[in-house]
Amino acid sequence: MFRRLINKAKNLFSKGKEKKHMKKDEMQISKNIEENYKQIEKLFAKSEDVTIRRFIMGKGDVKAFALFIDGMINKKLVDDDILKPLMLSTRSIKPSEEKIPNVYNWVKERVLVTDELKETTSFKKSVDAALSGDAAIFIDGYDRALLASTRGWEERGVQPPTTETLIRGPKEAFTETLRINTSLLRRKIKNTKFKLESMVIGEVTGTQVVIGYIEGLANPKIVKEVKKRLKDIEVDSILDTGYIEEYIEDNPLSPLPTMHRTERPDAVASKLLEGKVTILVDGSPSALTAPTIFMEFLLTSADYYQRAIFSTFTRWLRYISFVITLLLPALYVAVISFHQEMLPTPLIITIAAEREGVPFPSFVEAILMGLMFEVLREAGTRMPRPIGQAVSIVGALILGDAAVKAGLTSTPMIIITALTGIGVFVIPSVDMALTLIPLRFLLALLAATLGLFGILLGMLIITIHMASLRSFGIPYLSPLAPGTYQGLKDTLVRAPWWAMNTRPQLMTENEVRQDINQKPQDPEDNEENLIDE
Amino acid sequence: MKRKVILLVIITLLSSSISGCYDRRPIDNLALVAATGIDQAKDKDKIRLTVQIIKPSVIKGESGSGGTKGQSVWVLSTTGYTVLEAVRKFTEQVGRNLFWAHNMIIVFGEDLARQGVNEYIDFFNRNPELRKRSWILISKGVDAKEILEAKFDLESIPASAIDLLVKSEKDNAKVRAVDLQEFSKLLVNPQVSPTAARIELVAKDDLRKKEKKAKETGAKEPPKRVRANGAAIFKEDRLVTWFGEKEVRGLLWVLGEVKNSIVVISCPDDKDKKISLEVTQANSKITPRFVDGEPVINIKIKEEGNLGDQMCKENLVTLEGIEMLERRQAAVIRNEIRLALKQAQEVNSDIFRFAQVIHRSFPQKWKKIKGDWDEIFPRLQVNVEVDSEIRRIGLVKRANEAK
Repeated sequence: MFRRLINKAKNLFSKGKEKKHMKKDEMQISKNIEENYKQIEKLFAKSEDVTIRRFIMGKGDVKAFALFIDGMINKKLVDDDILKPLMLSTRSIKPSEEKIPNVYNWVKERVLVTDELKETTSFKKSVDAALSGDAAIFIDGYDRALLASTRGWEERGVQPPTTETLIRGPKEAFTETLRINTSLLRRKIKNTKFKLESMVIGEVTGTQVVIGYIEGLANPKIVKEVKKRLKDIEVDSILDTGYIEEYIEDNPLSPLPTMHRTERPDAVASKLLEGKVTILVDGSPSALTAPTIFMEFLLTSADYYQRAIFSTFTRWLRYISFVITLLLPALYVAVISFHQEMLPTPLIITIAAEREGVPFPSFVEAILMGLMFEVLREAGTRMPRPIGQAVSIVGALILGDAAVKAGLTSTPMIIITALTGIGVFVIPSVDMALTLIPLRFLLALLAATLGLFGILLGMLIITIHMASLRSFGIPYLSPLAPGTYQGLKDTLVRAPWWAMNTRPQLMTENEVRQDINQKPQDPEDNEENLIDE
Repeated sequence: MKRKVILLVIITLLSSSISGCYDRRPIDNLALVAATGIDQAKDKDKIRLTVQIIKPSVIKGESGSGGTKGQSVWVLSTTGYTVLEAVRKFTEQVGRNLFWAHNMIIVFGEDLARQGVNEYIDFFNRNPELRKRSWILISKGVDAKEILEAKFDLESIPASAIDLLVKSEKDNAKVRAVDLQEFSKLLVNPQVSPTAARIELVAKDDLRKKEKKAKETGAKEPPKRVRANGAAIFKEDRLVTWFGEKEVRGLLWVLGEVKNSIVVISCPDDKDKKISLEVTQANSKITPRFVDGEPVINIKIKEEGNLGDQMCKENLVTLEGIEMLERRQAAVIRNEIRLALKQAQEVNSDIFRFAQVIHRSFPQKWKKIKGDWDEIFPRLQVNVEVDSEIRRIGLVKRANEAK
């Protein structure tokens, strides 16, 4: 019976597989300008933002036109650096000279003063260039087009991060423009070894995707694997890094994320320096990094900017709240329905008193309150900002307090729900935080049916699953399992920078990060540094 | 492969519902037992089991603001031939399952204790819910039920008040506190006679009179107060005698369980004036010897303490003074031990573990006298040696003289 069901499901899915490729336009540019013009007009019919500027060059009748898209080009640049020289300075060409040597080369080498100039014979390429903000110049009699870089559109500037705010550390975040994002990275890593390779994914959207890595640090196998997986994507559109993530992650059905997403250039830079690979997508203000281990989701870049002892403390705080937010409702349900002997007498009296008159079993109570919190949280993210405050008042004060007074739930449950709900946001990665929510409900279900034994089972399942995960070949639980001493320096504690001598093993090609003996010394121990009094 | 995994997940999820929350006991379906009492029922074969059940909502109301306050606990009894039978009868009255994990005290009535407690302790050892830390108390002169009905002003749950009482009196070496675990061990050990804490109502006669008066006049019943001190001395599993405050400390000196206590001695010149010495540390060593084939026990007590206060005016903080204090203190301790020994020997109850000590030191000789121990113990020669030391004398040399 299952087989039939599964086959049916397979058929349903495979229908979508029939490729509806856009017809590939392998047309070449014609020598006849009128033909080109007609072709372009046909292609861009009903596109009111497309401009085709016709003009005549020189004193004679060399017809030409420029194709660009209004709003995506820098108008001043097109006017001053392309149209003006083409129309004015070509006047010096004498009719007799016009055929020799040839106008095309002359224009290319002497007239156009833009910094970036490409040429192509492919019709498609010239249209694509125009679509991404270049100006394509067609000249009568030549089967080639000149592509001048004139990009310039309204864009959001670099702003402080909104979801990953820190007290110390750089306060800039990625924006939607790919070029700005790459420049943010390049400014941090001024090195020729820092490579940025580009490719275009998405047959309709034609989105530019950039892979960044540091040669000599990144494992070439991983870089190759990332490129291969990206090349294998055949899809109509890529609108955000989230699309890419789902197409290339190792275990797409796992609830746990196996790629890290961040909006902080400094975080990406630090990961690049560990030998990881980053993927930037045009139009998306977040970058993906791979390979990703589980521990990365519990660390923030501020850990590395603050003092080591304090960072270790906050790190452990995060680990503890991770466990709390995953297990607290389940533990509560298990203890008060199965293991009452575990509670101290005064506590069990209080809980029993609170539970008196609550109509639901504690599991239903936990699910109801948990869902209520999730509804409030989801509403909070959608809510227009001016209404947000009203929601928090309704949620926190009225719903919580009233639910207890109405006898729908007990006060300990409210405390547990609040603690778990808030505890989630101690985890720096939103991806990981949201993953925990369904897991938490699952564990509560196991706890309600089997008690602490159920929780143990659930944790075993989760741990085994995590141990089996790989992210681009790197074990998900490393450096805990397989454990390395050097890895623990950046996991159990945040060792001071002078003590972290190696990059994460497994990932990088070059483990040595610095010389040993970088610990600051007492100047009196070092006689050279003695200051004469 | 993939299908197998999906199948496995479905089976796992479905199987979790098969158990149907087996063994689940919602907290609001439990009756929390705080104290248990066992008496002899009117029908001689049966026992009367009394439990003190906590009423959580009343206790919560008390800590909150005002409101009507009922009793914070519910004391009720059933009878039965066995303990479990009596326990199950509570369902007729309670409607919830009794939950034993938070039981703090188990009280045996004197009448029942004199007939033997072994048959009734089995339930408490067998039940997995019960903690073995419940105190075993023997009520002197009154039924266990009356002890459970006593009220306390500070604690809302009487059982926890008695629990605290036993603990603090234990620290003062005024009660021989024994929990279920230790009591069961003592019961099964053939070489030791069990002991347990004594609990009684304060000024019993006085309260009874008041009670009568109250009943006649219809006034409110005066609250009963309880006191936990002394010890109940068993022979095998039967209560044979009571130890008072002095004797119980004598017993505790020998067992080495005096942690913190006050020894009061008289001033050298004036018998009416007293000096109190604070014990800070004490340990005991029991060494058996054989003289002419007869066992002799040597008890050596090493005790350290401070000078707590003195009523007399002499300066006792001299070498001779301190020595005198130490001598007197040793005499008091010796006397207490003698009292305890005498009473124990009278009822032939080896509560000091002498048999065990002899067995361990002289296993061969013990085998010979083992059968005659009941005759040997009452006339056993015991030498007591007390080494008392005063370590600190406080901030003043002598007491201030009033003008």
